[in-house]
Amino acid sequence: MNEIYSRLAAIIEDVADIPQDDFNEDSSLMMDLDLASLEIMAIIARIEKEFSIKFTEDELLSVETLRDAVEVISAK
Amino acid sequence: MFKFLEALEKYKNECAFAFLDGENKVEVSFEKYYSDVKKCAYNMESIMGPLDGKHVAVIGLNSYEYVVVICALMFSRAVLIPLNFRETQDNLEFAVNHAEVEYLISDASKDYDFGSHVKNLKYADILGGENEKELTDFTEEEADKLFMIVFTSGTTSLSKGVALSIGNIFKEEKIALPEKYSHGFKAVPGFRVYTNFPFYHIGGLLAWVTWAEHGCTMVQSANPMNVLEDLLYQEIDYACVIPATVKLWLKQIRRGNMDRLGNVKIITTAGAPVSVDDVKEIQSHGIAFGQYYGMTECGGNITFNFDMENHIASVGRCYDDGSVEIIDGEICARYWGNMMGYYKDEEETAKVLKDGLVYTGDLGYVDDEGYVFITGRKKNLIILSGGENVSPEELERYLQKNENVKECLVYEDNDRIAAGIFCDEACQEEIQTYVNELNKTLPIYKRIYKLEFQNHEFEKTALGKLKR
Repeated sequence: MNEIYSRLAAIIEDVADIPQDDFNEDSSLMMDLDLASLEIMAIIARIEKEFSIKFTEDELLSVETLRDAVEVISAK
Repeated sequence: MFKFLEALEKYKNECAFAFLDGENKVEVSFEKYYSDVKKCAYNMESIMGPLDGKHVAVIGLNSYEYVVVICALMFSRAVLIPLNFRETQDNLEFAVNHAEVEYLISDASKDYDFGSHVKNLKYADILGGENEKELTDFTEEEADKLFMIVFTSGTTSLSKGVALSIGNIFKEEKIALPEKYSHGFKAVPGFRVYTNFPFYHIGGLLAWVTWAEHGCTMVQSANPMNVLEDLLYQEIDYACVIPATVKLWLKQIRRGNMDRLGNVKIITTAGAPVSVDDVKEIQSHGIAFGQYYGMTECGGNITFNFDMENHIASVGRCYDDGSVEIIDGEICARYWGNMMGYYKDEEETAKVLKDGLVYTGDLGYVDDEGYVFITGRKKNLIILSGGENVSPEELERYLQKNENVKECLVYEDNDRIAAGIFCDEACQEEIQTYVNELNKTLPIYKRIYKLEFQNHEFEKTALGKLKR
């Protein structure tokens, strides 16, 4: 869990230019991190590449917070 | 009439397309492209019979196959209906039925079923083979024939089908970089242009026509989500992108990742307003900036601004062969690209197209040097930085289906969709759950991200309409 979160946080910092200290597992991608839809798509593309996984449409919809994303990745 | 097929022949040794996808990058010459188009035209005629006047819809992600199919359809004289694969099922069904689609051609990613009257074909059915059909350029006599129906967000109803004629697209050469005003950048063979407009959008369709006419190379991400990876180690000259991409790129520049922009020399935006601060920041890194303004109803762009230094907040000046007038504060455009009308919708056409002028719905003014400035919007439409147009009324209709919603008002909040809801306090949770479920049925840009509940009615106009 922690390792996945660290990698995810690094991707978010890299794509959205938000320091990792400014968010945590409970942060909402849209509401707290204020990410635009194109940024979220770019982040997902990076996650898919780095973790060699593919999100289904339903999984994408279920992700609201970073914790949700970590859970989806862990389950793969 | 511009001789498009002649241009494909003329530039046969140039690279027409580069679709970026990591190690699976595909580059195709104009010679191969034209040959593939002719094969596709042959295959389609074998399956569908003569295509002249047939209404054929195409749906799918941007890809090489997509540009082969649409070109084959156009020069087989079919009526092309490009559909947005991200649209809701309701809007797609409306578009297919309203445009009287006979055939639907789609990529392999999804199966569609619009009833037995719409026959389905996949790319695999119509691409490849050996036989080619000879195609001919358009003649002056064909200028007024219906060429394509492009759907855009309506403000009061479902999507509206903009009917464009052959002349609207090919009457004159398409100019993307007007020589006198474009910082010395020229659309010459080999000029590499990156764009991420989808082909179902007039911006994507015209980008393909415009750059192909000049033998330039169109560079695209096979998957638009990879915009930050694909340009690493690539070399591009020009990028025409949505304003949201500029924001994404600026963050990369700030983090020292300039190499993710493919050494771009000039960036232009279209589809939505761009922030003045973003333009200044891009320019401060030695990258030239320009922007276009237009709408599907005008057959694409009507103004361009390559003098952002002196007119930074302007959408630019009109092309030499077009003109802009301000009527009651509204920007109205006269251009040879102006649509024939909304397909089979005289009432809506009469509101927008009057005496050859397209009433854009945008409010603004023109300065002494002919530069157009937008000050507001007359029509009720949300335009997001991703270039998507969203009708608040469409989303309000979905919200009103919940009986606990007494009144609602959809609006833009920080580049995304929010809704104000008048309801009993006890119903708030139920409505939030309803919206969460509703969002799962909507494309990402139409999702409602914020609900503001209130326990009193919204303010109304004298006519009883909600005050926006």
